[in-house]
Amino acid sequence: MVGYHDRHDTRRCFALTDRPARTPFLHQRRLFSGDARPPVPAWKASEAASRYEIPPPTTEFKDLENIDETSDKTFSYLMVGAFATLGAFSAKALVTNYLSNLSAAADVLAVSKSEINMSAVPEGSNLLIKWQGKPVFVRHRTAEEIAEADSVDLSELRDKQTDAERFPNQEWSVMLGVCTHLGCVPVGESGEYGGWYCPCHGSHYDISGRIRKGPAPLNLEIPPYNINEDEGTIVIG
Amino acid sequence: MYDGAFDSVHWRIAVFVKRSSAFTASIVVSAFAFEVAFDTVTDRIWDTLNHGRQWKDLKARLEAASDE
Repeated sequence: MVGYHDRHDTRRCFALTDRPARTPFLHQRRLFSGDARPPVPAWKASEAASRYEIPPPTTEFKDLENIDETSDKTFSYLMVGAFATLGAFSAKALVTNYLSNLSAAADVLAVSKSEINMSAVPEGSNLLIKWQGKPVFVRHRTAEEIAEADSVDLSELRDKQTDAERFPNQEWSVMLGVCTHLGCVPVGESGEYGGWYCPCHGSHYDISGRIRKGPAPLNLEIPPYNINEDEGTIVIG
Repeated sequence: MYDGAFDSVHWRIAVFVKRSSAFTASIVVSAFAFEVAFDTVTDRIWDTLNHGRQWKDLKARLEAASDE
């Protein structure tokens, strides 16, 4: 039997066992035990009996057996799933924000590009612009110039590249205006091959920017660029 | 006495949680869906609060003005 005041810290079905209430640890001493009932005079016996009567359990064992475990489990799984979803979302957002923090800002990226209006460069003329501190030659080539660039035999070239390899859109040539010899800026529409001529040490480049004569070892470098036909612009970078 | 993991009423849930792999997969998929929904809703709230003040609104207005 348990003490005259029922326990509230356990489910009632465990409280209603035949085991006496015990102190959980040996070093604990009860100053007042529920089992110790104050003495009651004999003439008050009936009153004492009603006062100390153990109330009937409000939960029967068969009620405990009929608890719907399935809906409990469903609820638990749904809660676990919902918080896991939130956690996955937060973790992804955290990683994305951290990585985007490492990449270059939009203003830095914008400075690293140069845009050219194609309508400002008529056929057969050059445009010299600055891209990332380097000169860039843009030329709107005529049909004869394209044919001339295509007609060159690869065996004549020091750095063997066809014109179509260099410029997918052969109407426009875009290349860095830096001589591959020692980095001077070549002069346009001059030299023995009708292209560029470097006055520093006499390198001759043809209309495709390929080295033909002189000390330079390589063709003029081509920067990454995009031709946007719809907007009529060339974006370098 | 209750025996199995799920009865027929909860079979729909059981499909997603019975195997840990299916549970994880459904969490990943629902996280993706939640992200899309969350972004859409928050973007819409932002656009509503800042209606007429954003570049896309200004751009439309400027283009309309330059056409006239």
